[in-house]
Amino acid sequence: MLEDSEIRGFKIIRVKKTPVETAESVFEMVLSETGINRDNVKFVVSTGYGRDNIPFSNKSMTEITCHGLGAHFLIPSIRTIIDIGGQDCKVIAVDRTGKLVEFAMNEKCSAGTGRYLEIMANLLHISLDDLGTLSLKSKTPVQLKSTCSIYAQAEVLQCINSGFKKSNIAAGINKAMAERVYSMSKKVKMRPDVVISGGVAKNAGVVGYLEEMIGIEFLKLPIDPQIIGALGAAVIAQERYKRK
Amino acid sequence: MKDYNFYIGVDAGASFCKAIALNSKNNEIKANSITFVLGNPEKAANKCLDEIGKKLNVKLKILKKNVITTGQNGDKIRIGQNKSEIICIGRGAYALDPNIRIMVDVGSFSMKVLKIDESGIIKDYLMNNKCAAGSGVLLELVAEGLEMRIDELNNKAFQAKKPIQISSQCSIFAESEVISYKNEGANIPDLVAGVCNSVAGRIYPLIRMIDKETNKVAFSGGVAKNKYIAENLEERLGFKLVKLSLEPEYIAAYGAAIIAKEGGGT
Repeated sequence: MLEDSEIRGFKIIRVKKTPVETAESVFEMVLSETGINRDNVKFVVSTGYGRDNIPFSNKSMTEITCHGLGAHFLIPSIRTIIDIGGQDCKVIAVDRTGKLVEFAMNEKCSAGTGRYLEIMANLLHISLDDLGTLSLKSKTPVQLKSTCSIYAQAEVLQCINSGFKKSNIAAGINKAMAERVYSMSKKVKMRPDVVISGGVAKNAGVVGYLEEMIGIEFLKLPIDPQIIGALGAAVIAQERYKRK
Repeated sequence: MKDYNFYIGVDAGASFCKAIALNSKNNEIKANSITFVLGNPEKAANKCLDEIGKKLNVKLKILKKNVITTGQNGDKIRIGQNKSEIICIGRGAYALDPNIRIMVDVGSFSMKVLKIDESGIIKDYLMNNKCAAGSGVLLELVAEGLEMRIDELNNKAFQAKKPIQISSQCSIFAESEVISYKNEGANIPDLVAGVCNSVAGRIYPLIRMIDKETNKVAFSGGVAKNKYIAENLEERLGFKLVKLSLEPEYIAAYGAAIIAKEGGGT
């Protein structure tokens, strides 16, 4: 939620059964936390997978556009955004106004998305956060040969059964994940400054490997990296309302 | 006199381990056995052999003399010799019916298509072992998500009125898609039929890629047990699949046992 280009509040929740249910409850939470009345919300822009079905939304926009604008709103020098969410991975190039120049996206294969890490964290019986921190302790990451999440799952199971250290397995998982993102990122001309957004940006292991592979240090976002898309949607909402 | 020469084929797949025992007289199957792999192929193989030993009343030591292993996890078993799945499937198919020109095998993790000539030689093959899309694991995931057994999917699919189209390619995403449809209150048979159609839709192009003419196509592997998928595949092909006289998940193990008998295991 934006008010006069200031962030008034935000909230991140795990998806519920349907996008509508999820959007309704996260909207309610932001309203109650900020103490703002629903009627005082002037314009709502929805984005993400369920964006077209949100009943209280005035307009829907693609995640690509929203991520570009959200990142630009926070750091105007940003030219490349790597966004890794639960279901997809995008590399977005923007100009100095935050407008989209080009992008690459993987939404067909779960390898290289947050889903991959979720599956692996479950296998190791650790949280997604621990997957990142554990990985930093490793000096000898295990080598995962498979790309496919399902095959990699079997590979990780075998690593667990053979008694490899959890930290080394976690590092191997993060490295494999970074490799997938890296190979996709080559489709877009990468210019600094670069930021990484989406839930996976919270995994220091993946971020570290990716910085190493790309050879550019990423800027730190001054806010939760998972909120950038929603922030971009709010930026558009503010502009639309002003234009009216 | 009792014949104590047994020849065993062990096919350790990604999910199931299958074993078949032949004896020296002919290619008649003396015993078979199937068990879950559960991350330990060696243990699964031993369990299969144990069971066969009990059925035939033969000591394990005798059984282990002539063993050929195959399958995704075949190389992890320290019994006998390991042969490629392609060779074993081809050998099994040819032994069952020499008229089969194409064998499609869909297991839990991968899909293979083999072109076999009149003398049983494998002329060409295609294999998808980079991505699990279209393989049996999708059926496993969907069955789990819908809280039913994998062998119940078949009957459910036949009850469908209007199959729902599944758009995800990745099995992981397809499972999520199925769960969202379920949560939205979709008709379960329609949903299951949609999943089965999507599997058949992944198998079909592989067959046409390797051969455009023949109609002597047989379907093996665990996924072939699903009659709905087999019928959907027949619809796409425009002809009936060749019927196999052996349960489809045992073809590779059967081929391996024949190779063991032909001396490949010693």
